[in-house]
Amino acid sequence: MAGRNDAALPLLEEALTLTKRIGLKQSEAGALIDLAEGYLAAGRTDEAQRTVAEGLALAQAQGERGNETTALRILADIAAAAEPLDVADAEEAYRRARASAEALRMSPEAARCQLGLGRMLDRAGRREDARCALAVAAAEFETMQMSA
Amino acid sequence: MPRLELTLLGGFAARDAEHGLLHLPRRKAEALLAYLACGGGSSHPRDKLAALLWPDVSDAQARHSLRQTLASLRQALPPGALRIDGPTVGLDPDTADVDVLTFRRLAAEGTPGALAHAAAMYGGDFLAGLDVRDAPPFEEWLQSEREALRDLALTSLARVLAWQRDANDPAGALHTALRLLALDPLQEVVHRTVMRLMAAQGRRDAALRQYQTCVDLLQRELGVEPEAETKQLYREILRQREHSRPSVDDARDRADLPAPASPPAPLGETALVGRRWEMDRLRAGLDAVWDGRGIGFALLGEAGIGKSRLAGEMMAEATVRGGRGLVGCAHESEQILAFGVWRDLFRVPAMPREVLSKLDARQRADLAPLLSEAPGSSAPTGDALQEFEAVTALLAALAGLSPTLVLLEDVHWADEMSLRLLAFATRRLASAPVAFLVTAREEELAAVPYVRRIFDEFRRSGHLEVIALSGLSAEETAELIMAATRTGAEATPDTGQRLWAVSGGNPFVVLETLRAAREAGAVAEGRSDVTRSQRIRELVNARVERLGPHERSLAAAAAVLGQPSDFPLLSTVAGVSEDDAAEAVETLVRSRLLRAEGEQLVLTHDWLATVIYHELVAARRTILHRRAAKALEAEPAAREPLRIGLHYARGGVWDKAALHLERAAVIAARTAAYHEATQCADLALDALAHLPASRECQERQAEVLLLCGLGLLVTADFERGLWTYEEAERLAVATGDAARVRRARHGRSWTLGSLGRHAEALAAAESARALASESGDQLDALFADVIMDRARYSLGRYEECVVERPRVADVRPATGGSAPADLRYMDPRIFPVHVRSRALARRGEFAAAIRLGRGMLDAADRVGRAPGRVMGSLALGQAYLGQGEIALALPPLEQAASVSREAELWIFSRALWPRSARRIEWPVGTTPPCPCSKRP
Repeated sequence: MAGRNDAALPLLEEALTLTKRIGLKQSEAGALIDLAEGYLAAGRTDEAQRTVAEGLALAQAQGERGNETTALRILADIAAAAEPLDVADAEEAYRRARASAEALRMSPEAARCQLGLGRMLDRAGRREDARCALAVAAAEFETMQMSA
Repeated sequence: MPRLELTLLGGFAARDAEHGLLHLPRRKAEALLAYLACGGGSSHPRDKLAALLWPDVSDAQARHSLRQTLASLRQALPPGALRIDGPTVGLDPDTADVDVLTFRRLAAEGTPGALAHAAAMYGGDFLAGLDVRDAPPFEEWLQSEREALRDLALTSLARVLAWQRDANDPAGALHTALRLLALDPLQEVVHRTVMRLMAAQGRRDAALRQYQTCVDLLQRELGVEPEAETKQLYREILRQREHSRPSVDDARDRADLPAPASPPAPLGETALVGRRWEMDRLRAGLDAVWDGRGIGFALLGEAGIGKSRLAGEMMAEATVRGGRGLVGCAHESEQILAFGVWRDLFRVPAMPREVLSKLDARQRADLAPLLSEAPGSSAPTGDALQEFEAVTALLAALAGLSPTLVLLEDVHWADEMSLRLLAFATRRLASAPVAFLVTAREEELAAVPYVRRIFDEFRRSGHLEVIALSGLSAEETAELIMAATRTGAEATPDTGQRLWAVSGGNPFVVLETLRAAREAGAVAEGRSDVTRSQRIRELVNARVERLGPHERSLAAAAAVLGQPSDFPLLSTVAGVSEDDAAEAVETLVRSRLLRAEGEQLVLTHDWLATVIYHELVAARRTILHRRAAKALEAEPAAREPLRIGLHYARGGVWDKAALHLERAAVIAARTAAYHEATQCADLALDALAHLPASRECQERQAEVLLLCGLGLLVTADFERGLWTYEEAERLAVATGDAARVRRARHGRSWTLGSLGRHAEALAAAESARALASESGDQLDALFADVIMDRARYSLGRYEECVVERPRVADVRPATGGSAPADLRYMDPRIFPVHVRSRALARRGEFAAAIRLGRGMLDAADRVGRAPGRVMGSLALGQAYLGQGEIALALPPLEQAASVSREAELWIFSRALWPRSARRIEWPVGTTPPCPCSKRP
């Protein structure tokens, strides 16, 4: 989040390794999802895709709906970064993730979904839709006093 | 063309040219086929075969069994291989190729080629591994055949060896000799052959070790010493570096072949490891000798430290420089013989004529008792000084031909006259190119006043420079292991460190422990136990046996106590009065068996302690452990419940052991030393298991299991933790102990959550909550709520986690008093807030989450407990992180990492926890337990 991917990724990888080594299943899905987000931030989308898929499967198996929601949002972010961009696919991914976040009242995740959706639409050239989505996201962030 | 191939030497195997290895359905089928095969085509009556293999059943039944076996053989073997002709059975010799028949034919042929082929064919005992003990007649035949074939193999190998030696094929000869020894390790003449062959190849160390193998085998198997000829050969090889080749003729051995030996030494020879400074000093000494000056060195150190090895290196160096070497060795059993070590020195080889010619008649006469040469016409004077002069003159004459190195080994066992002569010679030959090198065990010097006195004189006079050898460093030990194992496959850092720790860097102990562990197949398993090595045990026993009764008692007490102990404790455990103990301790310290660490006394090496402990008979160990426990318990501030408990346990006083170990577990848990807590709890459970079954005992077991579960949970051993909590709950239910049932369910819920089984975790916590409501215990109810919140958080049910819980100050446990240790760990002042704070952050209520995080940190600082500080920091950091305030998030997150690392909280900082295991110092002979080792 501070943009220091080179420092963050080894820590995230180590956290996952240690979690797996001691069998702390409670933290494993979270560690996978955090690492996937790190890979995505570093532009390593293939690894992000693979890692988040593993995290999503584990979260679903263990009934960890909060982690599942975050994983869905990251999958949407990955879809939004794809080349070529499949707008419908990415849009659907964001809507699915946001629905999950809203169901759990995970407002920060819902706001992040909205932000991602707006950026993706902007990239797709749908300026007006993007502006609307980003306005909603900005309001939500503002409400929670969050930084994007 | 044979279609069936039968291998009977070294075990049974039948092969079909078409199908490969054949599987016979029963061992009696193998026995029958082998019997028929050895008949070389003869047919045998069915009745005879039935009686041979089924002697204990009726004739009809035996015949029936034979029929079945023949049927199975017919099915398995190529068609026509079995020749069944009415009442007789045989094996078609044209169909079968039988190794035993070929072996016998080649051996009978007797040509070098045929014998070599026969020797190569003998892959082991006839039908090795075939067990038909329910058929004694067959067993008798088998044993008889086995012995005959073995003798034939030995004879063949001996003849091959003789030819190989005649043909100057040392490599082949050595291979054959070692095979001979593998078949019959007690043939001393073959040991000598191996020694000679190894020496001839320049493998002096291997040759000398072969002698040791021979000595050990003869002593162990026959209780005898080697023959004089073998001893002589050993001395000769020992001197080999001063002379080009061993001179003893081995013609007799050739005639006597075959003989013994063990398998080749499993560890390789090594180059000298470490000792660089010492070698530099010795080389400088040799430089002085080659400049025409006399020098002297004394290499002092404990047994096995490498004195002889270093002396050998110096001898080799002197030989390479063109010098002459003489070696004499003092023996413990020859201390009463005057000039014993000098006699040994001059025994071999013969003195050069030009040397003897430089001595006058009286000197030659005085030397006669020491030399093997005829003394001439004069009789010895019998005057010691004259004898000293004569020896000095002889050495000077030798040095006149070439610089001479005189090596006197093990002079702590030398007689007084030998040492006086040494002192005289070093003084008298100070200007001659003679180097004196003596080796002595420092611990033995203490026991012999005259030796000590003479050594003191040496030190003062400066005629002998004393070099004290200490243990190898950890790095050098690793290097030694690497060199000894050649491949280094076993020289893992862990092996090196472990062996160094146990051996104190003593190379003998390192190699012997490694050798013994390797023979037991234990190296890879990380078990390097010095007590496996007979040679180490003998070394230690020899030292202990020379001690007086009080010294032995104190050494045993020190071994049982294991760790440094003060003098009163040591004397009490030893059962020796303080006056006697003071004297004995002085002797032990002087003998280098005991050393002082401030006010504390401890055996000088772990390996000494381990072996001394191991050699104590069980009853004595028990008594000493009981004494140790009582003495420690009686101390004014008995602060070592673990140590006391372990001694009581080893002493079989289980009720007291359990009490102290339970106390140790509680103390460890209270100080957040959870790994130790688990280990102590495990030991306490073992002790409790020895007590008669009772309700009270079950209650104590449940309590200890709860502690153990906590330790396992915090140290992240979840599967065992879950079992432990389940067992605690079972016992608590059995005793109707509702409070412990609740605690067990709390622990079970927590552990299930850690395993990602959140729904089950929630169910367990809910059942605990229901019980708490029934009991009216508010603290327990709050605790159950907290655990439920944790499960709900994991399940994403955040809205249920943000409910404000009562303050802990407002609730009380039903029973009053302080909460048990497991509740204390999951402090309700902190943990409910932690979950709530994180849930708030998930919902975007960051301000509230941050406020709670700060509050937790304040509370944790007041309580002063590391887990709370970690949780508070994590909650605060994660709240900032969720908000996107990275700069604010990093400091608390870094603090969480730092505190968890410092406090060794494995659950938070997993890489660091094993360090805590080393805090417990286990008494010698006990093994740190695996936490809840008996559980899954």
